Amino acid sequence: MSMDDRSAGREPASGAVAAVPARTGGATTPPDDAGAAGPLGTARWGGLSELVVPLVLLALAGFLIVGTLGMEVPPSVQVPGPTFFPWLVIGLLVVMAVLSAVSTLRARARQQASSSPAAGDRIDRVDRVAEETRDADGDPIDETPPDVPPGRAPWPAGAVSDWRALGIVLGSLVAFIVLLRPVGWILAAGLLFWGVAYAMGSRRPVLDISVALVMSSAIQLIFGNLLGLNLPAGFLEGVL
Amino acid sequence: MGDQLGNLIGGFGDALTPMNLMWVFVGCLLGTAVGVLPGLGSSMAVALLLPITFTLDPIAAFIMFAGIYYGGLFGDSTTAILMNTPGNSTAIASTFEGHRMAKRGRAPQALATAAIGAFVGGILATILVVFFAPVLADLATVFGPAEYFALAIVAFVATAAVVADSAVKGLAALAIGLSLAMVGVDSISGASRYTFGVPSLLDGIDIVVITVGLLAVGEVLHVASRIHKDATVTAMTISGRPYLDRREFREALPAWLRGSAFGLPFGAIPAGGAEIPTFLAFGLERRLDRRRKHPQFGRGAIRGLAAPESAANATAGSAMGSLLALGLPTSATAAIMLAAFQQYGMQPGPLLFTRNADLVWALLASLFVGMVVLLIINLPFAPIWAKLLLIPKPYLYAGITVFAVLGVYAASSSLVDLILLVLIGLIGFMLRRYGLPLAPVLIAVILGPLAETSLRRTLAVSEGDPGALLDSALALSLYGLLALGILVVAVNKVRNRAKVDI
Repeated sequence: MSMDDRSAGREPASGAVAAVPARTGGATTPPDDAGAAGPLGTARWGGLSELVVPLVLLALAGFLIVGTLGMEVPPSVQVPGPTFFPWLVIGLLVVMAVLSAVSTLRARARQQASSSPAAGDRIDRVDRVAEETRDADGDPIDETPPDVPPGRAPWPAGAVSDWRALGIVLGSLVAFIVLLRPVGWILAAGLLFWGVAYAMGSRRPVLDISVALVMSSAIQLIFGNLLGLNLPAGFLEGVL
Repeated sequence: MGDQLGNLIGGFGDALTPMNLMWVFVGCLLGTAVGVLPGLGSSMAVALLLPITFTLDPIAAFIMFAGIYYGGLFGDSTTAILMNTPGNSTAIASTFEGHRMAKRGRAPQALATAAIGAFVGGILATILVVFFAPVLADLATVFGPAEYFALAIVAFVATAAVVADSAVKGLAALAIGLSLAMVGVDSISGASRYTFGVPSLLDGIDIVVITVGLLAVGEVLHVASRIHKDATVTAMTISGRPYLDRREFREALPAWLRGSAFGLPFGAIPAGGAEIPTFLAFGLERRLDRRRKHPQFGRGAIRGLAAPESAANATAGSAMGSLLALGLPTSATAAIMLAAFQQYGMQPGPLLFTRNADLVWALLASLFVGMVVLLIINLPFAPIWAKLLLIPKPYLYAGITVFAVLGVYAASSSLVDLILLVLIGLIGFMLRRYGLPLAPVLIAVILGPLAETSLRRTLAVSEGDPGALLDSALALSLYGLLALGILVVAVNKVRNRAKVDI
């Protein structure tokens, strides 16, 4: 039994992640990006969501400005006081917010203006690939290192976030924070584990919850009892 | 020289106790595991372990962290070779020829080349660190506030503007990190800053919360947002144990040495980790290959894999040197290890070699031990490590989330910290979603306080005259190096742009 078959068999039956190995070498299944928002959704946003970055930077700058203006500076401090460095950082935040907003808007304008030249671009690129030698397996040899390492690369223009999965993870975290003191580590952490596993596509509640509880109990035993970390027992206090 | 050897032998005495050997082993196993798993890295592993290791003695903790750091660089090539998916960004350059070797049925040789290459690079770098770190530390004893400020600025600008693909994104990430670092009581004046009446913020945002939030929670949120969208990758099976015959070994040897030569200087400067030297080493091997009678590149060239692998580990080795001797973190993992030193009340830099000499030499000795352990657990067993990929993703990320909240809560027993963890996790998600680099945030958080205090001390002494910042040959030469770096990068960018236009 090859490793492909086994990993495919272990995939949760979520439907969305269909591991069909096309071939035994680094086979990839095509990404399913048309999902939630669809073409309408992506057209409406068209790269504008990246404006979140300057907004967060400005929000952070606003937070620092409020805090700096309201700061109680102890009397007779040496001359560059505690507000000196914050103003430099606020300046950097604002300048970067403006620059990143400008570059996002310019990139978007360029994208919209050049929909037809973009096609020409693509033809050029295809020609270049065709010119390049291919290795023995017929795969193109493309050794130009990517500009950005994977994981740091900006998402493809039409990329959609899975807001539902993201929301479930966030919800599980909030539930954990709310429940930790009242119901204790074992149940709160178990719920968190199950919530994240569910968001990631695992759909076998009995197995998932069992794994979750075994894990949270094991952590309570090892870290709470043996290493002496302070984990709240909640209403199970007397039982444990 | 004799001094260093004597100290090192003493260090081996500490490192070879059964308990410390066990921590080396644990660190190496964990590091290899996170290296093999794509998306997880040594920085996340060290961040998650940071709060749990407080109960350990510092030597044991650092020995384990070092094992994780090097182990991550050993493990990341396994998936690069078998799946064409680098376990970390440091193994991207290894995928090109490494995966090609595997496709032609030479996966065992590829895995062996990578493991031995990582070993060669790491050992060479560690030997140099043993002899030069104390010298560097002596040099650093003359550093005053102006020099430290120059050092921090070089680290900031190099990671944020020179190395990151977009200077705006890098500097934005830097500014976010500087903002996070300013929360809490100001160490010079005692004014409380941005605490808004929340008492647990007086000590600042715990470094554990920031690193775990950015690296672990941010990564989990990012994966959750993409889990149903991204392609799944499968590993190829291999038969036989990794090995190299004499001819292949001779073929790879010069590439290992050249790769190490690229990695060594890059570890010592804050250039954001090992990505750049791996690409430079790969590029050189390709150019040299074209001049040969029978070019090998494109057909699974052993040298195209050997060079980047040894470059990556050589970088890690000299990064340890510059962390210990100067207190200058040159990669994300080194930044978190610096935070760990601070948690134990130690300040890496010149004083560490005099005040905590035992720890430093035990740590350096354990690097040699760790390298041998890593070679042993990686060379014969790489195919077994690849089986880690069978862990179901939902459980893997659920486990990471639980460990993240465990670490943060265990460190402080504070619900405020858990709320901050989620908020910083959201910032980490935003950084990943829009392609902002993470390393500048971490380096700004760690070095921000140093930059601020040294700037204010310099200006206080000079009574506000900014000229004092340039009033030292050392500081001036640091700024000069930085300007040179910016110039080289700018010229390259313009040249590349010209190429694209044609």
